[in-house]
Amino acid sequence: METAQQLDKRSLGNNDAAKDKAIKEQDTMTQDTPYPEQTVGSPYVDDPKMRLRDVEVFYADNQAIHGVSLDIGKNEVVSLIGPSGCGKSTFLRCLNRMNDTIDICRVKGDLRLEDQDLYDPKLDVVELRARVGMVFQKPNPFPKSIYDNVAYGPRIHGLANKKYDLDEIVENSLQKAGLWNEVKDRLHSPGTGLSGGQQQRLCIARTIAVSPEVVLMDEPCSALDPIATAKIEELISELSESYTIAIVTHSMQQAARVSHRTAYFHLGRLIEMNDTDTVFTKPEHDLTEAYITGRFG
Amino acid sequence: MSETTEKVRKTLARRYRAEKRFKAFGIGSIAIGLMALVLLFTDIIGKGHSAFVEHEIQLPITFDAEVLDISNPRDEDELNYGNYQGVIRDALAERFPSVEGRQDTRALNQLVSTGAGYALRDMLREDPSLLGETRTLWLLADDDVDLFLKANEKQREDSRLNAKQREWVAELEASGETRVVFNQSLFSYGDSREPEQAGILGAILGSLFTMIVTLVLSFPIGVAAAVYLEEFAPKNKFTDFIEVNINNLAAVPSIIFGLLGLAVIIGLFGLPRSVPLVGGIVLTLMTLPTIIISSRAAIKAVPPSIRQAALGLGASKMQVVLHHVLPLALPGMLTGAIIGMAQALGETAPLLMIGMVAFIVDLPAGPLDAATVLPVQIYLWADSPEQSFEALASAAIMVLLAFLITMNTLAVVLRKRLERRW
Amino acid sequence: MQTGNLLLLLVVMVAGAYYLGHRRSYALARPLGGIRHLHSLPFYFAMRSAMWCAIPAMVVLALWLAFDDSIIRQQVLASLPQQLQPTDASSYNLTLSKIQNVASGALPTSFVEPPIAEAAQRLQSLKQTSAMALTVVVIVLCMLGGAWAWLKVSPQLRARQQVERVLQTIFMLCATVAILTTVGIVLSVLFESIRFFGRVPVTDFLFGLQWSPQTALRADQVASGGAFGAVPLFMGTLLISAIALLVAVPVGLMSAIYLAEYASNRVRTVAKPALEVLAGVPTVVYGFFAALTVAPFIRGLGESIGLNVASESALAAGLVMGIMIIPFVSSLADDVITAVPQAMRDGSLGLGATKSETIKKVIFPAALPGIMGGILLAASRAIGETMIVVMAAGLAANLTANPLEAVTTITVQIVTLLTGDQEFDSAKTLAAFALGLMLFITTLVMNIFALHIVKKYREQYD
Repeated sequence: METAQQLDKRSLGNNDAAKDKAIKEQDTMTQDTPYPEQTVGSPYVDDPKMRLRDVEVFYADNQAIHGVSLDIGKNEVVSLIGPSGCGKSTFLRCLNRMNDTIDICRVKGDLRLEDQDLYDPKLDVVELRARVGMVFQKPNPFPKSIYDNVAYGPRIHGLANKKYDLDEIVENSLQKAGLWNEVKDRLHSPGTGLSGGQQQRLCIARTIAVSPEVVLMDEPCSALDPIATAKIEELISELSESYTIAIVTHSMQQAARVSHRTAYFHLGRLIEMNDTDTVFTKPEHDLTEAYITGRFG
Repeated sequence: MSETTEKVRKTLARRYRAEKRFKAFGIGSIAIGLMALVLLFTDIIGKGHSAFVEHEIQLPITFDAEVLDISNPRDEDELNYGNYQGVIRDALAERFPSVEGRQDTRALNQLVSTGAGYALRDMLREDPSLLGETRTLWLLADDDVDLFLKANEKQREDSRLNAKQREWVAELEASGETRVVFNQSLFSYGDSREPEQAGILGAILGSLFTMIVTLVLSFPIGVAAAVYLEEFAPKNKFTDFIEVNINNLAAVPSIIFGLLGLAVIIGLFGLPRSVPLVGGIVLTLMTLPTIIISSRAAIKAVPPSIRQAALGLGASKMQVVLHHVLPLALPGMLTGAIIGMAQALGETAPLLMIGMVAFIVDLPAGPLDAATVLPVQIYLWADSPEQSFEALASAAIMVLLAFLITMNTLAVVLRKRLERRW
Repeated sequence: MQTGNLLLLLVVMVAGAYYLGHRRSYALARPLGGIRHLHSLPFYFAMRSAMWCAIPAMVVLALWLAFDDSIIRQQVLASLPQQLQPTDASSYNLTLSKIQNVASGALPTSFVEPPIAEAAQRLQSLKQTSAMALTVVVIVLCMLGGAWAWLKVSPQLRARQQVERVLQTIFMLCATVAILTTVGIVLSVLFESIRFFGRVPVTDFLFGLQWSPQTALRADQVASGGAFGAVPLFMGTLLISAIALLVAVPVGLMSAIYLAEYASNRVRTVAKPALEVLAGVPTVVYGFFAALTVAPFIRGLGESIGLNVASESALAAGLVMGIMIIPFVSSLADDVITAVPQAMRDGSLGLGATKSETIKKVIFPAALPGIMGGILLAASRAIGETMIVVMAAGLAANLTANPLEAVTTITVQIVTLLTGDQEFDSAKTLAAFALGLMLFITTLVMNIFALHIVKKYREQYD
């Protein structure tokens, strides 16, 4: 796991000693409680937006994800929870092939967006990522103006023919992200000058400016204060009307507040997946229960 | 399929073409860089490899006491003033009896290097009984003959030898009276006006003395300065000023240090020109920033926990530094010092300013003897009109590069071997 | 006594002081019940003695050696009769070398005027006296210092603190060498330049279009105004540097981008050190390559298409200088490009941008200040580069923008003016220092500016 974690640290920028501690605690936990043969609960839905089967991820020789299968339904918010280092972010990054940017990472399994095989060699990543957008853990606006940040995606993909169209896309996206009123007077000031929460909403606006079908969010609130977090959570609920959303979070409360269904990951395995209410009120597996009752993680 | 997908798909072909183009530019750039490197090296090796060998001509030499004007070969004075050119001239005349006339005779005599006489003297000194004897000897050929013999058919047309000389040399070559030997003089003599007698030993010694002075001065001063800045310096304007100075000095053109040396070290302090001591001082000032910067990096890499552990035991700050930080940072500092030395070894411009460009035949015996250094020797030879010096310059470059590669490899090995992982 | 022997004696005496100090601290500690009753370890008492013995003597020795020559020289010259007193710098040098040659025996006394011979004798005797006095002073200082330290040894003496303070001061002095060097550079070029500008007006130097320093050599012609117009040199320097940057910036930048963003690990581990080898090649080697291979090649190439190319064309020198700077640009660019956080790349790639779009539209603009700083540093290096242009560029000033013609540069002129026969005080020699001043100021401003940009840039992403 060492390499995987180092990579994790490099690419995600979160290194905390707590992580190592958490893993140790999980190890002791794991000795008593066996993994389930199959994922507990109901990981599958009818007519899913994304159908993911037997996903395995390797960093060089270390296996980070072990045979995860689940569905993400249309216009559904799915949250992935679990202790640090359990592979939930790695899993999320498979869904728009962001893992391609790490040389030694290999992904196996059958991952489909509607009927499209995500790892089909003929598939174009550029096209895929235009359909499956991603919001990252740390707000990462480009060192450009607010306008240029949002217009970046539409520009590179050629989505707007005229300046007028582009203006409209930018305004719409900022409005959907709930940022329009705060920034409409300073669209041409740098995006890096916004507050953390505003930056993250800018990143969300930037993502939805391309009108993706699925939005992946990798712990979008972990770097934000509670008020900013509340705003983002509100936004997620609104966005779920038009987009399919998968969100990784380490806050169980957040998962409970924003998601329809919740998947619990443990050391690279999907232990349990169910309606959010069920997971948090009547967890079926001991590990899930241990986690949501705060015995580790 | 959504609208977005459709629009994106339309742009894909164009975007991937741009991607390919961009990547090709990148590969092209690296190729240009690597090609330049290969060209540089092949050019220099191509030009210089021939300088490592030289041609000799076989002649039966008679040590005629009368011609030599030596009666007692054990008398050093007589030996030194002996007419060795005379016996060589006689031997050549014997070998080519048909040559007549002043001009032709002189042309014939030019085939053998003037240095051959010294070889004969040395032989006679070794073995005085040679006087009056005849021996068949290999004598060093003149550089033009050497070039002619080394050249191919086409290049031979451009030779500086005249038609008759070419005939004679070709005759010698055909009858096996010429041979190729390792160019010993290259590694055993100083500079000379005659290419076939010129060597780089003088320059190597000059470089050696200069480097010793540089190392002895720059390493302790650099390390001490780095220790002060990292461990003791208070955070104030003065310290900031020192840092700004160091960073800027690292980027000041090297020739400026030459001006400094000329005006201050030679002009003000009155040290002599052209000596390795002054060269070493100038190069010290030049390499100091490099050494300070790398030493600071090495000190920074020592984890604070070590310092805290020692301080916790009641060691003074100075003890912490001398007992723990310095020994742990030493490999990194040495690596930096070697790289700084390599830089100094290849430096030319400031040494031109302090007069290390003089034509010096004698081998320097210490840092206060007038000397030149390897890069300056290369410059001098490259500037010489005679073509043989071009090959010599290339050979000297090969030697210089060999030194530099050795030093840099040493630095890499040292870093690998002694690198500590915390 | 010779300086070398004196130094050796000094070392011996210092070692003696160390030993005595060590013994005395032990001797004092014994009645008290061991060395733990001393304030410091015996080592520090010993070091303290050694320092007292060495430092005053060394300081006097260094100062003496630095200045005795010039003082003696003045004394000797001052003793000359009025008619032999040197009037200007060149006759000063001439007289001086005459005296020195006589003194060293290279010139027989019969060859020179009697006062000179007398002066030579005086020089000899002064030198001997100086050496003798030095020996005595140093030895006395050594002994006094050592004795003082030995007497002061007592169990309460805070020897460690004192030794450490001295060491720390020595460290600090070493650090100030950097300042001294800068001051030395500034003063040496400034003083000579001021003298130069006393003869040639600054405006003529800065804006004059004619550079022919040789004309000022004749004694009757004091630097006629047009001879020291440096504009052709500035233009030549600019031309060659511009060519070099035109080669180095695109190639270096694209290499860095490719190596940082595209290349596989295997390619990187081979190509990167290979490019860095270019940086380790001495400039004189590049000069050789430019003068003897590239310049003839370009000339031949030009002739084959009917162009008239000078054999010392600016193009050849610029091209080779460009090659030299490639690794410099690429390593600086590599630094700033890898400093752009991965999050930026992820953000762009996550939106579906291709790699080149990410580089061109996100990474490059983000890294631009750093890259500009790097280019500025590269430019300052090109301007100050000496050996390539000395060997491959022309000597004659030529005001042109045609890269196929020969131009000369600031550094070339400094070298030609200061090598070979020179009189220390001629306008020709002083002009070299004025050029040095220009070069120093230009590169200094560029470096400070560039380092400032780069620093600001780094802070942005830290």
